[in-house]
Amino acid sequence: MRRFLNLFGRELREALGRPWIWGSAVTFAGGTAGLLWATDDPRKALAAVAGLFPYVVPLLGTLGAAIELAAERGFFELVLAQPISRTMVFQAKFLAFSLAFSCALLLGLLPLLIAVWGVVSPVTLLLLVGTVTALAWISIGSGFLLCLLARERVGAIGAALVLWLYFAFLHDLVILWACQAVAGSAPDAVVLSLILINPIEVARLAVVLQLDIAALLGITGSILSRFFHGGGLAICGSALAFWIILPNAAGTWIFSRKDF
Amino acid sequence: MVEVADLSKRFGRRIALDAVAFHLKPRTITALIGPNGSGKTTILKSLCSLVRPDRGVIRINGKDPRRDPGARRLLGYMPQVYDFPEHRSPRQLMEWLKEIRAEPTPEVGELVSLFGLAPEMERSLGTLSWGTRAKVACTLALMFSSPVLLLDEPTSGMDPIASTRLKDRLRQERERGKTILLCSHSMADVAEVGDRLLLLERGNLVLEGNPQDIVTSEKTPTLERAIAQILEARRREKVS
Repeated sequence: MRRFLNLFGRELREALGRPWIWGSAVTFAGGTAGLLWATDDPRKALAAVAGLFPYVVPLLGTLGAAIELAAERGFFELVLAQPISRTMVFQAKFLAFSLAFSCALLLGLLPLLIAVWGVVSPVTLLLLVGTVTALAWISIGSGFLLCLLARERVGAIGAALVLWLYFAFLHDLVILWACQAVAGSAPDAVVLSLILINPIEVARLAVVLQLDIAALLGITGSILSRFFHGGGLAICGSALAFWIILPNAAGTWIFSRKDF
Repeated sequence: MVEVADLSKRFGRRIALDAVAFHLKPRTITALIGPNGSGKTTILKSLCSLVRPDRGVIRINGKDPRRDPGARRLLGYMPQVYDFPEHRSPRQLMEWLKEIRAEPTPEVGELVSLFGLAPEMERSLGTLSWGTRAKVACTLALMFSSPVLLLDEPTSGMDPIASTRLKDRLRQERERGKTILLCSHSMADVAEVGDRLLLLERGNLVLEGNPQDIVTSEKTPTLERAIAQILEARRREKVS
């Protein structure tokens, strides 16, 4: 355990020294401050952030993580020859970068959180913090996984962009196409399952449903307004937890078997 | 000290190692030589668990370094490519490894002075020349006084002073009872420090022996010519 904590501490210091981590904090702080300045109602700024962060966090996190791990590939040749388990090395890196990235994002959100404090319910704020954190961890895990699957750094960056594009824009189109293909007779449970596959959509849902602005969600919102009656948040939470575990578990499995 | 049996590895369709077997004794410098792509680096990487063999057994002091990461404590490894984090300094890298291994490094000061690294210790690795990085990599491999040293092209890129000092150091390490395996394309280095050589060709171990005995038996003036003669004869045999 002591060795893991040593490794984690070292990785955390490395992560906190990365410009892309701090760049994410500055982007978020600038964006939220700009929205607060542009709108006279902090609730409107919160609704705008709730609609935007599910797209921005995965883009920054997945790309940053993929580039990060690709840059470390050669160094692993030295690290993994040491008396330390591969799982420990990968987990320390995942935890350190996820923690650093999520803390940087929350730091960026601070102006908004202060502005809406007392205006919206604490549950809504907690939900915003929770979903931003969950998306940060999901994107770091996904970026690391894509980097392990790709042979070159360029391939990892390309795969990260494609994955983001798919979940940000194409997945909803796939659901729409699937609904159309079965002439609107797809059971709600099937459509909901398709929605829950997409972590970006799940994060958006979790916050937007709480803000009661489901009209922002289009087709997804209409289905969910019918389907969710209080149990929606638990389902969203479980889906996000699953998405944190899945890429990390797959990444750990590949990392522990990969040739370096 | 080191036992390798039936070691086989494929990368896609290419056979990197084909049932390679050898053992390394303490107090011996063994040189692993062969043409490019013959599997030298794959053997070294398999020994320190960077590459997972498809088949075969590796034992270091009776332990499997892949299943038992603690067995890698017995190893000091110098990679062929020094792809270190560019923004870190040699000192930070050494401290980092020291933290991971939680072992004393009684000789680190001596090694830094041996390779003339003192003025470079605080500079970022990205600004160091390839040769200086080689000296850093060599210091990292030797600083824990591990009983088994695995060195991939250790003198490559080093200036004559550092290269000579490293070879002298390796002889000293041998006298202290260490088991040393080094890959090299420099037959002069192998002839100078090697007690034994293993010749690889396309993943197969084709020759094993003392460098001086090989030169004598091939009736050539140098080891380089002897090895070239052996490899060319094998190619001619295969063609006919």
